Amino acid sequence: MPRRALFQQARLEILKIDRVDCADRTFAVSWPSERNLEELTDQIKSSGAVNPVWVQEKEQVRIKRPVHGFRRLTAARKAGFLSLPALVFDKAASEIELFRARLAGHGWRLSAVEAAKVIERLEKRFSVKENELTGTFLPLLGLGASPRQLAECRRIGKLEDPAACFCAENRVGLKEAALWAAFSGEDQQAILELVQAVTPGGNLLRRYLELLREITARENLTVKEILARQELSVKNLDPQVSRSGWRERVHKTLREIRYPVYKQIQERFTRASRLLGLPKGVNIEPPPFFEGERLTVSFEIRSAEELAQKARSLVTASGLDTARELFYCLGAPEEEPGQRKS
Amino acid sequence: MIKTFDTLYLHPALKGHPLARELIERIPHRRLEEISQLDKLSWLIREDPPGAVRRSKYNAALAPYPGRMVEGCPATKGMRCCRYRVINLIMGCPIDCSYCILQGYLNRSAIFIFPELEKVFAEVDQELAASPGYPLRFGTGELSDSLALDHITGFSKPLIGFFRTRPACWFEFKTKSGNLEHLLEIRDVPRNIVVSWSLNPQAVIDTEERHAPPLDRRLEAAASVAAHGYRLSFHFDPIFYFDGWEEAYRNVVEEIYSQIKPGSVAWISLGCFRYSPWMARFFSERFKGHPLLAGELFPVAPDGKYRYPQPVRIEIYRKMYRWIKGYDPQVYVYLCMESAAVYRWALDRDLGDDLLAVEKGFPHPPGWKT
Repeated sequence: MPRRALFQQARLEILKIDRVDCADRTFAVSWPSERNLEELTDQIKSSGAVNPVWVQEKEQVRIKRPVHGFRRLTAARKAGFLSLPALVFDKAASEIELFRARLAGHGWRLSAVEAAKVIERLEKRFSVKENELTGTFLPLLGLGASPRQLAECRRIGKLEDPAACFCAENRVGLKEAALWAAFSGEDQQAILELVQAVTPGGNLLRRYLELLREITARENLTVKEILARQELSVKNLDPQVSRSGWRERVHKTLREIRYPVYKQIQERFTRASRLLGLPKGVNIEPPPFFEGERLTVSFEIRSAEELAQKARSLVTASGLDTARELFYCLGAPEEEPGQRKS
Repeated sequence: MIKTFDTLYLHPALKGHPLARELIERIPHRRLEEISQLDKLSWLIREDPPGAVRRSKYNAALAPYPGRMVEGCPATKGMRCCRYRVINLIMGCPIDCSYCILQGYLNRSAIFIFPELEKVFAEVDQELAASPGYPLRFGTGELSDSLALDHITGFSKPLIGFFRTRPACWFEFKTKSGNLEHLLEIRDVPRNIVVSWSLNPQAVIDTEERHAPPLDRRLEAAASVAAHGYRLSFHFDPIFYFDGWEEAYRNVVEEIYSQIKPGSVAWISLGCFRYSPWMARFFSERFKGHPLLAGELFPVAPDGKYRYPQPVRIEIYRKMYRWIKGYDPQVYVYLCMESAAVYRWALDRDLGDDLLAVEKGFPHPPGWKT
């Protein structure tokens, strides 16, 4: 049936709510099911149900199944309404066309978990082919028409409760939810405890998940084992520290676990630069990621005398063995070239 | 290893090409499809790059090469390069290494074979005519494994035949395979032909080099071609840093020289594992959970590629260099895509400002006259 015909054949009527089979969730997209209805209920109480819900006739005469407006139906019932305006589709209307029409107006507002559940239903119940899922339905869900996004949606199917519920309610992004779903159920739960405690934003959450994925791959550890470390344990988070401080500390700790060799290099460099005994305000910085052969020296001066004093301190420091140590951190040979074995 | 390709695509321009006709007979395939717009095969890559990489290994295409078939290694900005002259006869590889840059670099959904050898030979001669004053090194091992498909393409024989008459340059086959049938049929092997193997400890081969022969087979193959008169070279690239790397790589060096006489090896290259940022997608989607790909790498200047921290790389190179030189003091050891600073600190070699210094350092082929 052409899409326009779908609406041309529909009729508007005042529908008794008890004629709607709300247990039929063929077209439901909210997950977890209708929630946070207080505001909508109050709104309907005060202004009535203005937008018609969509329903489709069923085989049984007088019973309809909901297509669009599951929340409004529940809220109207809670508000004590017995009927509300409805757009009624014929029972012959194509289910997939109805679903498509329903997503066209609303799909982009769904969370990543809800979008993933829609995709799962389209594949399993409506047998929609992969190219149609990618080309037609992903854009209706506000996602890019790419196989990668489809793969991420499918991966989210492995997200278990209560992590899935958390992701839906907090509208965790597609990429982050897919990364989260890649862990075992036990690890998903461990991540959830951390995330609930430190409440990272989307980018930071992604970084946590990537770091955890890389650490688990390399160290052959579970997330639960990693997060049980004293410095990462939710129980040990210092209540005196702000939430943003916790987030940063978790990030730093995960980075240190992810990059232990780099941490050693950094510590060696910091130790060596401290041992130079440079006055406050004189800094020696390595190149980014210790790549290259040049260190940067910076200092501020307020007078010619201060310049002389700081320059003298640098001259003194340059004569110390510790000054060489700074270059060893970049990879300079620690023995003289002539002493090397060939 | 692929026994039969699913589809062999043929560009109509090659219908009359004698070598292409021979290859259609030789390449085992289930279906032959003539297609003039081979670019259209790339759509899969754009849609689903990781999935397309896997599928691309099961299809082959015979095509005319649109540009120059002989070109310098694209190298990396700001890094010192050996300037291997790449001959593009095949693009794509039946071996499936997790770290391989070709996964994302080649926008192809089949292994492309370019049979126009006459074009290659003309371009090599052009390059030789404009000789820069030091010997050039040509080879087919950049965009494919030089020998992995040689049992069906047979390219090695005409290549050796051609370079036999150009003794003032090197020709290097780079491979992981043990496909030596055609090489061993050559009588009176020219001394400017080098066969090189890419090596890694067996533990790395097991996890990262899918469909590639084991280390012992590679070394046996190297010993057999050396006995047949070919010069050898080895490439430790990529080297992975992991707990126990020293023992693992030292053992490989020992293994080499327990089977190969030091004088047989013309050069050895060292290059630590590195990757462009866009490769991460292939790692996470095709090789999820591979511990070696989750090493400590950082996006560093000047090219933004992920590399191990410089001091780690230098330590690796320094040690490998000592082990190699301990067995073979004369062999030329060079680094792949490293800075002058790394050369100086790892190998105690000052390249100065000469961007061609690595290339100029190679030994001269027997036919080279100064």
